[in-house]
Amino acid sequence: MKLTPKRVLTSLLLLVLGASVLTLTACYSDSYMSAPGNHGQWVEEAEDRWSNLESGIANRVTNSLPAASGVSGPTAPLALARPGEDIWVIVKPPAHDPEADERANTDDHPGSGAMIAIRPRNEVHGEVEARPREPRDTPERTAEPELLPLPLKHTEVNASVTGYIASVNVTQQFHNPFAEKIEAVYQFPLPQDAAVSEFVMTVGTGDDPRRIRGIVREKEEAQAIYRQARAQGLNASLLTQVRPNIFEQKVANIEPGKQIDIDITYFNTLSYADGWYTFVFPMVVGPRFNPPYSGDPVRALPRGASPTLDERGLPAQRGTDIQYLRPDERSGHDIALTLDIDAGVAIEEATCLTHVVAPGRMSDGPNADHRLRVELAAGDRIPNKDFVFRFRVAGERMKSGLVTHTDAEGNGYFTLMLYPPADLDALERQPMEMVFVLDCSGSMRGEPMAQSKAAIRRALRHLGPDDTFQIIRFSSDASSLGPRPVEATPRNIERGLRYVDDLSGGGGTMMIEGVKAALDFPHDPRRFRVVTFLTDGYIGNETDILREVNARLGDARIFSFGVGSSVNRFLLERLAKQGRGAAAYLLPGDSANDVMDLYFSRISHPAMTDVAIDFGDARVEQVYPSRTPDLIVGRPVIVTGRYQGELGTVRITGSAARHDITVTLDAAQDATTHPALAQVWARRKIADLMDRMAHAENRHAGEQDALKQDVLDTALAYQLMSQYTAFIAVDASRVTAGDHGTTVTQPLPMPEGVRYDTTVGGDASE
Amino acid sequence: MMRMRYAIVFSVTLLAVFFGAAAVTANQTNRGADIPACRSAQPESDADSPSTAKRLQRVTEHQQADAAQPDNASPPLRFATLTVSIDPKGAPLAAYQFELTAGHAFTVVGLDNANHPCFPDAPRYDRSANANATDRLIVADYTLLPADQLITKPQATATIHAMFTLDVDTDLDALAASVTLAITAAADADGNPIDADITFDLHFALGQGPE
Repeated sequence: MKLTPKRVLTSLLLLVLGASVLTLTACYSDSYMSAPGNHGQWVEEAEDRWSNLESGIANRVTNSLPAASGVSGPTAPLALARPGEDIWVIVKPPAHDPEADERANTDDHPGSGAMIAIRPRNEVHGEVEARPREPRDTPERTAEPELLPLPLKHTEVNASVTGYIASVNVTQQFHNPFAEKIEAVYQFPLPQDAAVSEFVMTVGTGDDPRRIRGIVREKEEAQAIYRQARAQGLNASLLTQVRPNIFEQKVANIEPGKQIDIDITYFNTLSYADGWYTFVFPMVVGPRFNPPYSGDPVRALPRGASPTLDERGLPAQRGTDIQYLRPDERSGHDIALTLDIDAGVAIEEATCLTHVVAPGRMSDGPNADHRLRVELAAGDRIPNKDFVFRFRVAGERMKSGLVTHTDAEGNGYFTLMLYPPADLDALERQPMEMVFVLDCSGSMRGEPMAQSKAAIRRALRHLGPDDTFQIIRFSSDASSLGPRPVEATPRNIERGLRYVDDLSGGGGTMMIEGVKAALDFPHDPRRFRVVTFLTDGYIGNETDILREVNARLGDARIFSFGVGSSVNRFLLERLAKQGRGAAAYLLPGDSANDVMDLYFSRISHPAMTDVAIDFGDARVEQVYPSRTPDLIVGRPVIVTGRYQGELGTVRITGSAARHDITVTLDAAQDATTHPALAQVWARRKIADLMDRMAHAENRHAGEQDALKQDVLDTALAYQLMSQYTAFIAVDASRVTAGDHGTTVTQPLPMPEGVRYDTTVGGDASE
Repeated sequence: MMRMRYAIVFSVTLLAVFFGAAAVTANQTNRGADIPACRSAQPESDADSPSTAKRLQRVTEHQQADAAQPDNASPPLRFATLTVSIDPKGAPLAAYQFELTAGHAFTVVGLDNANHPCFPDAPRYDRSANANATDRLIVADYTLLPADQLITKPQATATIHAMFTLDVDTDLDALAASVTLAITAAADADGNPIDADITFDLHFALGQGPE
């Protein structure tokens, strides 16, 4: 073909036009990558688009905007349309503050109707931080929720902390406001490591109450006794464990106008992280999602819903039904809490992260600054969120991490807090492969989702050029930014940010799909894989999740972030434990940036791995956890065991960044004692055995039976609640009139910040 | 210090073992009758109104199914209380320990202080003994009250709530006679061993009968 000026000019025009098309398409593919619903294929499809355009095949354009992109269509691409062709306009969203946008989306704001309580942050020592108390308008919010007559009237919590061990007494006051006799049923949470060791039923009030100590029995036996006592018209109560952090209380034959109190005593250890000791008292069980294959579901139902029936039409024996108040309903149940702390050293700072508390030091005695008493303020007593109280002591930690106890038979027990060695601060981490796994289910909708997205955004900005990353979302299914981690280049970070911006909450919680997606893709051995879960943990199949994690973990580390006011701490702590990482929590109102900054400051240093403990001359046995976790900067771990002899110098060895590290600890110095240590140890042993049972589920039955028997024997010997034991108390001194009455299940309030319509009443319920 | 003294005292095996000292009341053998202490339910006025009854229906709605859940347990099970009285014979009783055995298998389902103000909490029981046996129970309690506030005369100090698995033709008199109670330790406020007698009352709770 002969070149003429006209032809050259025409070719140049076509070339310019083609370049424009390519430029625009580059923008399209950026946006396409960020569109939800196309996750997992963006790399291939973007590449396809490039090649198609280059070959002149694909010039189809549509005007369907990707969801939530928030953009207006530009006019330029319209010029490319030919008769009969669609217009496909996809552009980058304008620069904006995604967190602000998320909050501005009023449809997506959290709320729980009448149960809304704006949480102030109350500095106990020092200035009270004023929290915004503006009301949150939500579709669920109503002016006057209906007050329902219900059996659980009041919960009284008296907790005392000595060192880092808490002893907590919980009194539940059940009464009967009806004209007929009732049986009350109530599901409630306790800390996942609570060693429940005492159970007392008080029948009657005033001058003539009977305080009946309950007995630990094998679960099936206790249930049979309870059914018999109920059928025979006796006052009886039964406490069973649904999950390590969910319990069920039944109280039979409460006569009209009468009251029965239940006292539960438990012990647990406080967590210590980043310089703060944290006491947590959970107050409400969040609504759980159960995949169809769940063998032992925890079902979330509307108040008054029919119990789940089996194929014979009888109440299903497997699983637990938990009822929730509708947004236009409330119960009269309130909670009071008193916390006494004796740290043994001066308390320098303390704060309640969740509630308004009335602060006050215990003033008597020579070491008044070692002790502190706080009470829940009268205006903040709705049990719809965890109570979280933190304190910091002088010198960053208590004098010694060692606590011991010798029982009447001469058995020695200890707990030892292992602090990470200071050497770790000087070591740099290796390149990381960061995998963020975000729960996008209905229960996360609103503030939890906004906080989670803000946290990932912040984390992405922390990544270095040698790192790679991946973002996975899951709700009813799972999808990801791409099929494999991408390098943390500025361009990919931008893509990641846009991907996160477009995520929203809705649907079920098929977390197992998220676990598979996070752990299954090929691992780059040059990088340290860190999987970060952000979730409220509202699922009923925790065991399935933990089993999958155990099977697929490999060399990865798991860090779990609980996002919300009443998260499933059992799942989050176990995920982290199994993944040799740590759990952290993003409470409503927390700064996601601060939490992520701290997180990265911790994982910027290698953990001390392959930790071994040499107890010297002491004969130590049955130390739990049976595999000592990695020591991460700012995150000590507590080990507990039995011993004979003298616990003196303890040597801790391990390695970090190919350096051998040895730490010598004079454990005996300033060691303290605590009488509940035997139960704390036994509870840890049971938790360890249950973990092994979960992992061994598909192995031969004999192993399961042996582990179960070990759990049962331990629980009975130490009189503890467990999966296989229960507390029973019967008042055989009098028979109530009439038959066993009507069963009244105490419905729970929705946790603060969790929507009823997207969980119990909506698309997440089973 | 006080606890230590009691621990020492408890280690001393004491005194009387009473076979057949049970004061079995007439009602125990009269199967089908209510126990004497049984009071009829007295609804309080505010709970007795028709509106409250309606509210119960509204709150429970479909929850009757659980209450009607059948129980296939076949052996007749009867609940009973053993009210334990200790006579310190004039000495102030600050601590005690006793052991109960029965010729018939029983299951302890609760323990209380028989409403005695000197022993404000429910008594403790030996967990290992109870876990490994169905016919034996060891119970102990102590108080830190001063001597002038302690009991010196026969007083009920503990109640054991128990469940017996009975045959259809079980003779309740014979069952009661098979129960033995032995006080293994008793002490005054200074931790000194004292002489004490122990007796018990056995009452069966006879309500609607087992399911």
